[in-house]
Amino acid sequence: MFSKRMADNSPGSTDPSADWMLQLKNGQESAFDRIVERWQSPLLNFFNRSLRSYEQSEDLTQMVFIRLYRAAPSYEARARFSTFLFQIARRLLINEYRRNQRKPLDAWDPADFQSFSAESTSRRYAEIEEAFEEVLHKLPENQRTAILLLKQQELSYQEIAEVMEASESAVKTWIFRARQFLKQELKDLV
Amino acid sequence: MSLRPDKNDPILNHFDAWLKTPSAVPRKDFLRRLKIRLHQPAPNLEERLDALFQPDPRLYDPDLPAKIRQSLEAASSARSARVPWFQWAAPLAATLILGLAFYSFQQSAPTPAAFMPTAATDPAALPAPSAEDPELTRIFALAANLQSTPDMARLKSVDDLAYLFD
Repeated sequence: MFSKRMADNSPGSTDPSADWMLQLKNGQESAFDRIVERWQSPLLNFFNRSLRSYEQSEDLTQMVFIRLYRAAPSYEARARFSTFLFQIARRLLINEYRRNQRKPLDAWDPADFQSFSAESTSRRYAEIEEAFEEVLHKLPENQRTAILLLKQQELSYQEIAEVMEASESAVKTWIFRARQFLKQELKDLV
Repeated sequence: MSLRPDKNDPILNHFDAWLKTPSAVPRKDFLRRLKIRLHQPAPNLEERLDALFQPDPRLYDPDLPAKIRQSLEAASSARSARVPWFQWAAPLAATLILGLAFYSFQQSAPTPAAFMPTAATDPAALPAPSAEDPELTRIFALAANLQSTPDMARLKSVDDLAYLFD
């Protein structure tokens, strides 16, 4: 679990990352370190599940922080920090998908993934993980991002809607369709 | 739209658990490398533009100016070879064409026609009065008598006209 759900949606005192961002805005560079420490793993995992490339994921994670740093002088805690952060992340991710479409995709070596994945205790478990990975990548981008934000990042539907610049009902539809598709594709694994 | 039926789906539960499992761990020097990248000076806009307009050495051809000069000279000599006959042939051709066009126009123009009475004043062209309506018969008879301008000239006033229809 990467993020801790806040009790309410108001930014500021209940959202430490938003406070750190305001401190960074006021010139406290150490606040940036705290933000990086807090969000590097969620971002890296979000990108890694989306792109299946550690190098690309790390590069995009760094770019998110660079954009965040440069946006600090004009930052205002209007929404939850995670919403703001994943909005940047998703825009970069879409750019990356477009760039990848223009060049031939690198062959994905599951061994690369294994080196960073959690301990796989059996060959069967590894097969299931591989199937999950494949099925996740068969989903359209909006459904995949929505389900990652919901299940991996534990964002609410409302937050996902803000990140993805869509209505809450659209997000619910995407997630419903994604789960129906996953159920259909994964039924043979049972 | 409810997601509740999925709650008991073991494979989806397994999938959700897998999504939450960290798939990548940040390297220990992530922050240090990030800061190096962050403080790298962004390339100057002018430098970027210069780089954009740098000539591509793969496209460099040392003989290109000579080739361009050669092709320009060839085009110029071909043009000058055409000039002498064109200088007198072009006005002559234009004169001929204009002359033919004028002659053709003159031939096809209609000859002025002699004065013909208008259809309205020709009694034969008038519609036959209806035998059942004596009033209409009378009007048509009066109109048939107004055959020419002398008749019209006799009408001095509206009363004269009314008299005709009385």
